[in-house]
Amino acid sequence: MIDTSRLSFLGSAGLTRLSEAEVVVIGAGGGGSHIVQQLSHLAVGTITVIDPDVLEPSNVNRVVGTTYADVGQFKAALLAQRFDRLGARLIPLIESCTSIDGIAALQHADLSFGAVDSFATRNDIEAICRSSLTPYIDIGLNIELDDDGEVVSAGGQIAASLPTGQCLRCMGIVTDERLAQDRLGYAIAAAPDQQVVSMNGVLASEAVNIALDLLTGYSRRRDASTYISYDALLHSLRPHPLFDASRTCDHFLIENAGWHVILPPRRV
Amino acid sequence: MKLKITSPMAAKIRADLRKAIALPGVDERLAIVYARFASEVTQTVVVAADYAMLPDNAYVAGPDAANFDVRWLMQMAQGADRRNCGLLLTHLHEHKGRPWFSPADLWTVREVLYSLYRASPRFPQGALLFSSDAAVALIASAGGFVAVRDVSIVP
Repeated sequence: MIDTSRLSFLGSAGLTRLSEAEVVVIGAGGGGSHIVQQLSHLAVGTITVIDPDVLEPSNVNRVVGTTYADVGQFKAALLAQRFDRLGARLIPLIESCTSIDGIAALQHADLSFGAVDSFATRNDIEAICRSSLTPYIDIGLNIELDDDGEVVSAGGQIAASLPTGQCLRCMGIVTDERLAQDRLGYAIAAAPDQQVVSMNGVLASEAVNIALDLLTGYSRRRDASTYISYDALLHSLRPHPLFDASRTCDHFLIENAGWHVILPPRRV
Repeated sequence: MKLKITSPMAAKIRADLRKAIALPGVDERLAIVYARFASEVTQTVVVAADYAMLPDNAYVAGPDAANFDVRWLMQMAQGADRRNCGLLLTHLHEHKGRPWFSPADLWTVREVLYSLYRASPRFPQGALLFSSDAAVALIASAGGFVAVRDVSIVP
């Protein structure tokens, strides 16, 4: 039943759309926990939270909804417990997003979010989403310190990889160099143990806004950017210079979407 | 089961289906949507990969709004199979709200389209029906057809 006391700029059709939506959030850490919290408050129909990891003491400063008493428990399960009485149905999946259930959830979803550290994982998620025509919204935060521990840069991006638009490669987020670094084991949290709960909140909030617009069309703008650059030193959010609404993607073609039968080799 | 089609493709298909057809006895245009399952394991999500309009010379005179030479459909089905796709026979009912298949549509679904499934069950076979603001589908399965009551138009 729709709570009409929330009827607002989304309209009744928008609220209905939200209440029926199936959304997947990959990563129940600093960024993902904000996303899950906001989607729960929005009473999005079903939220599958995928993360195989447990909460560590160093996570508590930025995983919203958690306390030090929760250390050792699975993050996805914690978020599902914390936010389960706001109207959304939360399903924790304590597995990798490339498990059979993780892939099935992504394929079935109306929309997915990724708040992960590894570019290889981003690449995998996007490939699954593009093949199943699932819009994918990725967030990433990075803080650089100099040798004296002073902040050189702090910020990140929100990037929506939509079936008919630019992919993460088009946007320069996934590159061969970054994938190679991941393979060599250089994939570390971009802001390990840092006090970034507020910065994660900015990224997560704008990601959820983009999702809200995709699901309900509330902005009615066709020119709204879906690739946004965040600078935490300048306190600014702006369309990324590489955003191009008119550009189609050469890496993922719609005509190749779906599962292809692998035919057995011909006998010679 | 879910059927996903991108918003631009859905818009193009509707626009093409609305084009006037100057053939006596033919009131409706037909399209073929090429579709695949998202996963070989669960087969619960179908994605629309491409589409083509039935050529004018595929239509024949008959009692229904759009009668067509089944040989054309079989030819297109063979082409779809080579592309690792199934085939959804597609048309438009010009009204708002969720559409549904007419008795004539359902006859075609049962008598013609199910034979495509028997020939090529690895790929989704069936029918897709648009209204001006919604869409439904019937996807063949071992026990008959699965109804997709709200086709997902993906941004």
